[in-house]
Amino acid sequence: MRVTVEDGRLRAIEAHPGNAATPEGVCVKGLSYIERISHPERLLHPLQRTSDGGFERISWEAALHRITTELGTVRETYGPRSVFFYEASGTKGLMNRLATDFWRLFGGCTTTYGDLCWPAGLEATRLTLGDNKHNAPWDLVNARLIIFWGKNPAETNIHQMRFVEQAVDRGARVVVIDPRRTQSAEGAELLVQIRPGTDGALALGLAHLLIEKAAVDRAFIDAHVHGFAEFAEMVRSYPPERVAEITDVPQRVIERLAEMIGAVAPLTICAGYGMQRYTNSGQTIRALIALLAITGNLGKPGAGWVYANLQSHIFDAVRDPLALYPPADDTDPIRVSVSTARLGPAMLEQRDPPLKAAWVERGNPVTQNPQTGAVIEAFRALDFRVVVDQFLTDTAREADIVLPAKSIFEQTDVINAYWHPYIQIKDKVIEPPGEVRPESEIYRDLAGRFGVSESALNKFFPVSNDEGVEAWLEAKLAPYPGLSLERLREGPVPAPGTQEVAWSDLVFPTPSGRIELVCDEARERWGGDPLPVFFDHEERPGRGDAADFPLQILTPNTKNRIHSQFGNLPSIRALDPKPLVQLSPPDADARRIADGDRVRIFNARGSVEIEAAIDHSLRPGCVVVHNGWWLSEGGGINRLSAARETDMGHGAAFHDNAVEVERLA
Amino acid sequence: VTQRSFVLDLDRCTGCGACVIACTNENSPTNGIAWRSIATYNRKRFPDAPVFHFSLACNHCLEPACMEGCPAAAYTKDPGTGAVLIDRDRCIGCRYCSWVCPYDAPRFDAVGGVMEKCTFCDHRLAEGAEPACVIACPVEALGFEAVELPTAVWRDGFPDTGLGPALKIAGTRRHSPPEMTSAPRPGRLIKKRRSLSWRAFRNEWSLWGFSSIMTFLVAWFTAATASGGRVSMLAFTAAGVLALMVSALHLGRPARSWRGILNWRRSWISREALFVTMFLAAACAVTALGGQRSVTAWAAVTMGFAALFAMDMVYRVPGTTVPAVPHSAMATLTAGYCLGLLLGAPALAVPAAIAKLGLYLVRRERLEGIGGLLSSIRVVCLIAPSALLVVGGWPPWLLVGMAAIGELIDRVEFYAGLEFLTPEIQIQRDLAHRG
Repeated sequence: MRVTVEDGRLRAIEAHPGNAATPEGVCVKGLSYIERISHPERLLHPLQRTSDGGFERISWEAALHRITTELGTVRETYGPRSVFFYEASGTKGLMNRLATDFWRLFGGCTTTYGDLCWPAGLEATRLTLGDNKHNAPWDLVNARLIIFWGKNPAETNIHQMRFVEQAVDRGARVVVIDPRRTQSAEGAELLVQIRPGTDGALALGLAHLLIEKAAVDRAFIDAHVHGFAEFAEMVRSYPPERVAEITDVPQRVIERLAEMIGAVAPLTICAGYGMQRYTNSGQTIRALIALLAITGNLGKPGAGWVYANLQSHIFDAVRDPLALYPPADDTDPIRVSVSTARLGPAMLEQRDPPLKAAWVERGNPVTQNPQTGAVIEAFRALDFRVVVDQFLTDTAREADIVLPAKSIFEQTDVINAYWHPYIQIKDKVIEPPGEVRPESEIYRDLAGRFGVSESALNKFFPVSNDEGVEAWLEAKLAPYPGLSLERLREGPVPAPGTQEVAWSDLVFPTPSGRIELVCDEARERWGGDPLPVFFDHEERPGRGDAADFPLQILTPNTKNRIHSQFGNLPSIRALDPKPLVQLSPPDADARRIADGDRVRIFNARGSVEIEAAIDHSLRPGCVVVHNGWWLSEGGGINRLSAARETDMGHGAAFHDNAVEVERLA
Repeated sequence: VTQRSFVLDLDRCTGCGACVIACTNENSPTNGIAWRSIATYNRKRFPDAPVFHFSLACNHCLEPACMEGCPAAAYTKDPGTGAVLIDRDRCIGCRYCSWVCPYDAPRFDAVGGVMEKCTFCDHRLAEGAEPACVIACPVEALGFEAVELPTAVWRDGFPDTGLGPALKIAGTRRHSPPEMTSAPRPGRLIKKRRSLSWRAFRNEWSLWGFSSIMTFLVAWFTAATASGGRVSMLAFTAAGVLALMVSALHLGRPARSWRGILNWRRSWISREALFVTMFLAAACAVTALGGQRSVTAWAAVTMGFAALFAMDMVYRVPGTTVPAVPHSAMATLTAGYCLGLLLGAPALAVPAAIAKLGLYLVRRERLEGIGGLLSSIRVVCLIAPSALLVVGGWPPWLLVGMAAIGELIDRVEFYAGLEFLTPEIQIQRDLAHRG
């Protein structure tokens, strides 16, 4: 995006026409940065917790002195690995790498593996296709059939909607598979309101029909698919009658959808991340990709698997999802031993040494990681906590020292993407307000206090001024001939080697060199079946341990926030005033809940009190609360979710979550 | 007439709100009042109707109702761009423009006490740029182009009262919902009857006080003139001053009240203000000088009824179906009724009471909340005085006092039932109609 600055203040934000994926406009979050960076509640100086639980302003000198003393004591007593370093995705860029360098200089630390967002799907894609990439965003206009499988781009990928409408103008058909009637479903001809967590079974049922009707691409299969025979044999046990029973999708709809997939090409499946937040979802995603493999819908314009496009992740030595996993051995001073999906229990489980102090930056784990109760317990069990943030989030409220964080406009950095293929510069356009200092300066200062030599400081950290940062970035860009700050200032640059049509070379970097429907690594790494079999996810409403909790809660993202960010801004509040739980009419009636009633959502892990909103098109048996509302805003929906990993990729199975709802008197 | 206009593509608009925030960023960085907003059709997602969004600001109409109705002549329409603009320094903060605009475009700035609204980004147009909202739309749903007006517009959910809005609605796919596999439940929950809103009354209590006092003063003065009696100078003047003070309370900028008569050629509010002033001045003069039988007194009576007629006309806003004119609490009718009671003239009072009763019962059919204890008192206070008048022998002030209780209640319900057309209300009406 392009920003206009007047008198040192942001005045306007507009789309950068050089990015062909987003040339028309910036999303609501991007536009709200004008409010965000000068919001009255933005943290402008360090804070220290007071004895009565509040916060008081302290100087940088006092804050860094306290941090040096506390972390130094912990390191001396328990070893450096008793310090827990938690980072999330709040602000992205190359500069973030400095954190790891700092902790290595500190002598080590303990950190997390896995990811909250999307690793089950990343891993499933990697196992099946060999890598995570997809066609350029604008290629979607070439599709003739678009299936949004658990994805709601109108809220989570607004710029994709432009290409969807262009495709529809050119005759494309759209199907949405989602328990909710989302905004994206309004332009669809069919909304398949599947039972949550059974998407894999639907995919296998569709494959069953496609193979039975010989509506598959034999030539493509013979040349590029590994394990088709075994797969075909496996899906024989998924006839439509059985799949209808598992998925609660009418048999005629399954048959109609299979017919469409068999007859209309090219087909693009755009998959959402919510659907892969179950304990069976790695295999689910593999089953979905299999549909494209057997119909030859890969490597062609308008066809493909739109999940994650990591083609711009050129700066990573190891590309996600592998970079998210713990190392094979424990030789690095940085111990990667805490599952982020199981953050609370995993922090408490650490031994030799146990965790004693924490440093949290670019994240709000109290609100966003599963099972808030356990996360708070784990943070409170520590002796000392530092949180770096722009606002006093739920996590910052748990801190002993809060350091004010920079915004994206206050230090130059270079970013990549996960949908479009561009490398872009994020130029510094304003000075950090108040006493805000970028993390690079904080780390450099702290490292010096911990006795790191001047030469080592200069080796790892940029000199703490604009020229220093630019020189540091230039050095990072130096290995890439087409990239320099100067070139990036002219506009977005497609990452070197980007394929507009992914897999157009039909080279799949898997062990077999083919699309793997049978994948040995699925068993070796994850203990799963080499075939993308379907099995029930763990916590099913009304069954087993969840017998008393008959409703499945979905906690999707909203267009109005990025996770727990932006919700505190007046312009965003005007669009999205308060947390709500959406209920279907039969579920609401059965509990005598009316629109606007206060209700309690609860399960064995916790409860949240919130206002009810009747959604007349929601699949019965489901309730929906957007994630990201802070506890201090009356939200905190992760009080209900379980600290539990997905079957692959060390993701968080947020949606394996059964609840009950009752009306408050 | 060709005018540059907004173009809204209902297929493409996702209701994301980028246009709203872009507008606020561009135009109101300090007070945060949004000039543009999203009205969603079928927000509750009833299964048998589609969901789509109207991103609406001012439509810079060919015949702007705001400009027509503004008593202070604060509105202008720029001949070059077609932009309908309000001058903050002329606005008296009466908010009448928000009543008559079916797009809810004028917004009240409570701090400044004046209305403000979308300017078409005329400062950007002057530089050759498009409005900020149009530039910001990430999905090309909002455009800006020269359109031949008036244009045929989309009907469902969109208010069209014939003002020639400079808005072209494009997109044709949103006529029906997607086919859904979760069985839609029959039966809609949208109420076809509206209910009284006490909040609406609280917002307008000063108008209630003003209109009630004025109605009574006109009836009182007319009765005195017709019967050769006289009104108490002190009481009449005090009540008149009170009425003016109460009406000024309604204004965001009371000190500018005088501007309220400037648009007498077009605005019924200006005419009302003008006639009220003339009536009170003439009537006070007559009372003070004792010329109750003079031509001046009859002139004052005429101006009084003209004021009440203008007062009734103020509420005749297109799209305001309930309450409409005629109405059981309308000022001219109430004044006639009171006059009949004061004069002891059943020939005037009884037909007025019957008309009022009929209109009241019609209204009760359309509004929830009418029918309780207050309504019963209102009906008793309508029938009883007329009946007692026919029986005879009761003092007129007792009958008028009884009638006044009923009339005050009816006028309260009038304001509590007042609903001016907005996009949200049009959507509710059309959705209810669809079901």
